[in-house]
Amino acid sequence: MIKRIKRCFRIWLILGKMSLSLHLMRRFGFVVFFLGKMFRFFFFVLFLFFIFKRTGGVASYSASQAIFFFVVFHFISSLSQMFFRGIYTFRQQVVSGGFDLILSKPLSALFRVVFGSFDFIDLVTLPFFVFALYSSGSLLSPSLLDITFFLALLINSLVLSFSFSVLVVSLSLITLEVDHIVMIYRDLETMARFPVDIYGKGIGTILTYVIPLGIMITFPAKAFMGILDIKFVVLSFVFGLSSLFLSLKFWRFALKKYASASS
Amino acid sequence: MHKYFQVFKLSLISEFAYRFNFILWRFRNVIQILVVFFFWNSVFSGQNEAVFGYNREKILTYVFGILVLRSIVLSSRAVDVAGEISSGNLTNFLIKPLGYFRYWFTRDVASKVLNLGFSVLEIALLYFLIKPPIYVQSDFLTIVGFLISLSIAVVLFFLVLFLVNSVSFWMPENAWAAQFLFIVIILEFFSGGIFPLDVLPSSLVSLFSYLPFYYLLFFPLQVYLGKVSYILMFKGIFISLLWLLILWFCLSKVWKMGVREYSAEGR
Repeated sequence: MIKRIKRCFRIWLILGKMSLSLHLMRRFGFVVFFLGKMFRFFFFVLFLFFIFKRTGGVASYSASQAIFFFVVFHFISSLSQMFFRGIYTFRQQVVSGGFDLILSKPLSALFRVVFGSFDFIDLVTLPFFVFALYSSGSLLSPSLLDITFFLALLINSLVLSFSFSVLVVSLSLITLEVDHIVMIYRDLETMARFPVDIYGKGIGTILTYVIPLGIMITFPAKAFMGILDIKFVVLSFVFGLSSLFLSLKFWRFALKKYASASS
Repeated sequence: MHKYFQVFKLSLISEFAYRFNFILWRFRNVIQILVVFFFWNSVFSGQNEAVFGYNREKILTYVFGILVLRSIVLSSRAVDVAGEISSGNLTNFLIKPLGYFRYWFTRDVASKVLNLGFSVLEIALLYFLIKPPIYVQSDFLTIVGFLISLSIAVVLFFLVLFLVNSVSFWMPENAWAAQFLFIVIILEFFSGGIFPLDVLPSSLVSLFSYLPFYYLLFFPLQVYLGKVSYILMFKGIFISLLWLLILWFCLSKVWKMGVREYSAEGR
């Protein structure tokens, strides 16, 4: 098992190098995307700052707490995109028949598809988000236990995000009719920009337990603020592991349905 | 004129060819609006007084107005022009007895008609589901001003989009990056597509009012909500018309230069 992980890691590094050379070839695009992402983050925070300055916060959360939720959303979203960028181009590979080439290689197809294109633009934006996390988080004066729970839940969020990514690529194998499944996932994800409590009980529950965005983004932020009950921390890990297990099962099911019709 | 009517009809038919895809695209729009709706609903839940000049009724009308205005102003097929240029497919159009701008504007109109139809259905559905208070404008002159500013916004967006697409003539591999920066990021914020611009300090708002993006979504909605006086409404319409002329002038120049540069690579 350790040998297999080491091998995957080596391949991941090679794929990362290839991805970096691709980015360096398109330097202008790299700079534009980086600027775009930073601009979007900066303006969103600016808007929220002026709104909360006037209203004092949103849905029983103070201004600094609400901004922290937003920063956590961006951090987790950026981290997942950085690692799982491959899912954005997967449908094209299925349509063009390129996926057959991946299947024929002595490497897990899922690993190649999900981890195949490391996103260096997100890597460059990450230090800014870490700084934003630090600056907005330090206003909330968390305890050491809160920070520990937060970090553990961040890892759990990545597990959930990976499960989502597996679900998206599996759906792309089953249906070719929709060309932006991944963007629908991204749009759903944006619902967690703000704490899911703002959507009211009904939608809030769906966003927490059905599409577990609440567990993925709202819960880690709440843990950092020390307002998340321990039973929800445990529940998050149960959800994370179950999602991982079910998504892998679904991938195997979807793979059996793949008919290689495009090649 | 007849040929453009045929283009309109064919565009509508082609949009219907991928129905499920289109419905999911609309679903994405609804999600985006729901996020903003619940955000403002939550901000105003314990508040009876006006914030940033909006009461609960006006801010929720703004959110729903954005859904409709996006369908009219921002829905467009002309985003594909960049791809046409970089793939060399532009050649097909250059040899046809067809006005290229008119062709894409007609396709845009077809897309807008379809999107508008769906957005009205979505609003009706959302209205019955969440029953938001909606502000209905009744002043005749304001409604006329709103319709004029909306028509200008449609043409303005078309010109901005074509200018951004023109990047393809010189940097075919980076057209998508330019679209991302201008159409997805800058335009979204500066047009008031995410938050109303007047939550920002007035000095910033008045600075933005000299940019064309301001007149795409924010200004028409401000007119509809009766948040600008008649004088400011006429001033806004005048500035947006001025932008229309400037952008049209720039586009004609850039397009001519671009077509001269174009070498049909990829054909």
